[in-house]
Amino acid sequence: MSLTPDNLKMQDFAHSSYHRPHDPKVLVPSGSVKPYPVRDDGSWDLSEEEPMVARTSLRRQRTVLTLATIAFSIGALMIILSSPYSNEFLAPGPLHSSHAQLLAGKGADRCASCHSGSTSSAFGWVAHAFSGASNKMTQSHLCLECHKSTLNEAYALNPHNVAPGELAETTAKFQNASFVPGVSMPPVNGENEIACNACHREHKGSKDLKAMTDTQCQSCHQSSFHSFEYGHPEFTNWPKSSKQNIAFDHSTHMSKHFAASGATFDCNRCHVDDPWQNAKVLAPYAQACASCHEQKIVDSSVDGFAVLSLPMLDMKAIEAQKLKVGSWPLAATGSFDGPIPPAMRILLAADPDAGPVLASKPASFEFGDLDPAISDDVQDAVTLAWSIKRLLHELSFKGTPAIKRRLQIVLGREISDSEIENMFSGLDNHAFAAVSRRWFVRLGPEIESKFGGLIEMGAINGLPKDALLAKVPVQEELAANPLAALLEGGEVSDSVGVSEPALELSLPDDSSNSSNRPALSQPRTSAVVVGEMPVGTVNRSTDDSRSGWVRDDRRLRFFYRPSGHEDQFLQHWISAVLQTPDVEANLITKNLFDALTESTSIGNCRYCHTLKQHDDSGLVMNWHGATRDGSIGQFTSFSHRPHLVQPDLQDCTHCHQLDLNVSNSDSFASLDRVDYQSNFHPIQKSNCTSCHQKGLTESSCTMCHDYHVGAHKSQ
Amino acid sequence: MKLLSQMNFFSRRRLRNVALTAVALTLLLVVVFWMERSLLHSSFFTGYVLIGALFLLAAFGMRKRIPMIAGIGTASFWMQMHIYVGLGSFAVFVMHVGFRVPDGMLESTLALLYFVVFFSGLYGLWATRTIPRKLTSVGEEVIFERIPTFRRKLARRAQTIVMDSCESTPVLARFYANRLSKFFECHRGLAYMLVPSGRTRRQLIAEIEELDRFLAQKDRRVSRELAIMVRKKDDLDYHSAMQGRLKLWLFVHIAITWSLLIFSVVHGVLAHSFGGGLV
Repeated sequence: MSLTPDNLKMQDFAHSSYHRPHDPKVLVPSGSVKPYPVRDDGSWDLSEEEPMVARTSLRRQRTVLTLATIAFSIGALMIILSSPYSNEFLAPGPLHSSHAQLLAGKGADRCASCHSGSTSSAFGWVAHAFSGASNKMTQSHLCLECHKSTLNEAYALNPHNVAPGELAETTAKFQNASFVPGVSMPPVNGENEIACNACHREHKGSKDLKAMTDTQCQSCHQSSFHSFEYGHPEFTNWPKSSKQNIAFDHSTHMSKHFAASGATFDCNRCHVDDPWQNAKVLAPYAQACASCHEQKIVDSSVDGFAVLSLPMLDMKAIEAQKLKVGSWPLAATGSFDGPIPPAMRILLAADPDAGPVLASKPASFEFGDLDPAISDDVQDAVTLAWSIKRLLHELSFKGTPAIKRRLQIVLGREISDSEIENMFSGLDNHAFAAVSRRWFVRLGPEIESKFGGLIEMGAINGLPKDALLAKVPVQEELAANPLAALLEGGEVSDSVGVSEPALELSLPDDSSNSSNRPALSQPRTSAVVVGEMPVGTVNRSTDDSRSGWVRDDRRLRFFYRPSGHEDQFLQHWISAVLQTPDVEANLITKNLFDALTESTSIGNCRYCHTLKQHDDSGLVMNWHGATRDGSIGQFTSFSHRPHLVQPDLQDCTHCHQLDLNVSNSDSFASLDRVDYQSNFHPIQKSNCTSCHQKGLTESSCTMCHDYHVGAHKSQ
Repeated sequence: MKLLSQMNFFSRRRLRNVALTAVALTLLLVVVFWMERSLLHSSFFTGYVLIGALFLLAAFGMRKRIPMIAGIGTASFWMQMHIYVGLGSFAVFVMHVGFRVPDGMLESTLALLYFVVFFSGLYGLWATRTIPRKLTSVGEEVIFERIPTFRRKLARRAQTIVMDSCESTPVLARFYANRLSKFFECHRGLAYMLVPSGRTRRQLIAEIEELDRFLAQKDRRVSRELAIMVRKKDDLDYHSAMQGRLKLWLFVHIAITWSLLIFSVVHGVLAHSFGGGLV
């Protein structure tokens, strides 16, 4: 008998119980292996069943292992999340070193510095995750808790940190220039805010947090091109697309002015490095401009800026019309003559009598335009003369508050005390009273008689003629020594100064040092024009003792003579005029505006400093050259420092090529900043792409363009 | 290249499923690319896709216990879906982690769990495609749970015929005691279970044949029966090793899948809780 089975299942095993894989237990033989028992007939009893034991099936074992794994996972998570190391476990990666250092000492709560959903319990996480929002601040606002100092906080979350309207205008402007042909909507919320982490992805270790790919930039700026080298628009109007603050015609200066003087037209004379060598900034006036322009400024200021000036009156014509003008300095009599200074015109325009008269006259009106044969002209002259006297009388009693009142009437706006103080800075308190006393004998009684009704006009009529036409004391001196008038800047006799009544001056400086400086109540004996009397504090910023407030008894003018460049007086007056709404709409105010802002006017300010129409504050004079202060529009950054290392690039003209055929002097007069043609050829992109191309050096968008425009840019 | 009509059912199915998977992944990649260049966080989108895929994959093993999905599709459909969604999930995983190696502890743990599940599944796919063919080549199908009983029966039979031969010669009994008892009565070692080989089988059969010199004709027939039993025992062991592989990879694959699901849900909750921006 063969015991060898035909197959593994062995036919005799077919009747055994079926083992199902899903059964929790399977039966396996137990005990040691024993041979089959022998039957009585000598054959083997192959049907003998062996003792079996139940063993856990693989299926059940797998289920147990799975349950154990689930239990282990949940248990491990609970242990870890409740341990002090939960933050380390949950952090999706190391922080950038800048943040890691800041948060190092904050312990277990450090996650809450940036994550509003960070709570101490797992239930809190679940609640925050599914509630949609938190009562706490948003993550981006938590970023701003630290970063608001370097961003424009009001628009910190708006695209480019710029007011949406302003950005739209800029976008439209550059779209026209084909730099931004298409701008799509970035992932912003209803308030046009974009989250910080849209670009700044933390928990990536040392990876640059500020790094942006070109693709990310083009998520909004959909003008797709291959690279800076291929497809980026040419710099058709860069770096200067709008006029400069300082009207400097490079072509004319190089080809005409510098050539005529034999000076070298050196860029570095006017353009110097900033402290970081990033940008070229304008050199100080003294270094760049003074050698040529200072004398012209001084020359333009010789006559000063008159606040008061007595015109010449034709007394015969007045008497012929049987009109009375009261006392009037003898030196200011003769034929009708003399201008009305713009400042005095403004003050007179507030006068109820002079205002209509001036309003009826053209802007160029002078007393010389009056015809003594025409009774209306004579009447106007008398009216203006009385108004001038009333003005002087009011000023002598009330001082600058009276000026403030009159200016407010004419300019049509509120004028602050500080503004009026700046406009008359350094003026002695009693200067107008002194003018009144020096130029008129009995101004007070006359004004009261004429306008106040306190003194009968008969009292004036009874005055002797020589009292009505008084001589100003200095003119008596001039009569005695006529040659002194020709010696402008020469010495005058002490008697001129001695004859001046002592004025009590209040100097802002330490009075204990008053002995070391000339008393302003005394005449300056050097460099003072005959008849001129300084009537204010000495301008200590200059040695020019002729500058400051001056009463000219010879020409009967009261004026301010600027000390030269950067004189604050002119800045304050120009500022006051420019702040006036519709300043050019009124002939009176336009007259003052023109007197201060024409290129040939006093100080020659407008000769170099351009005017700008500001959306909020109206006209503004650009007192300083343009600086990169991070304001709107400055999305491009460029540092000269790494470029100037290259020997070829140390020559400015390598990139900045002057176009001598373009003269833009005239365009600076226009308020339209776009109406401007640069003296320079646009910088060729090829100048940049010779280095900035793939394989040579960085050429991504952020190499030159910045996302954030704001205060931090000035860093 | 074979024309579609010339392909058999399985080739056509494979081609269709590969194409569907590729199209789905391509669409997903396009969406991810669009989101990234739109400054959106694609990780939330890919995260949802991935965790959805994980639950779908897990449903393959649970489908018979979940009444809602029990009647959906055939087992073959579920198997194919499990294979291709599982393979595609790797691409989704790579997109989700941003083509970089995770370095946070939770993220690293998740990635490790995913890799274990994915590669164990990959091994399972390979094993279920190759091992049955190898077992078929053995010539007989054996239920894994029956192998211990078969093994015992075979050992008893071997012992019985050897005992029977003792009446004529002690050679076979001595040989059984020295060389075959351990082979028939004990489990093969771990080395065999890991790398099954026929070396022992060939060696034992050769030694049995060597015994013929010392055996009478009658006993030689017994020795041939012993040689056949050795072959059968070795086939059983081979079945045991191979089927063990088919069953044991599931221990890892299924158990770690649950762990992966738990960690994934926690990760998702944390991502929403700690994620931020303007909310």
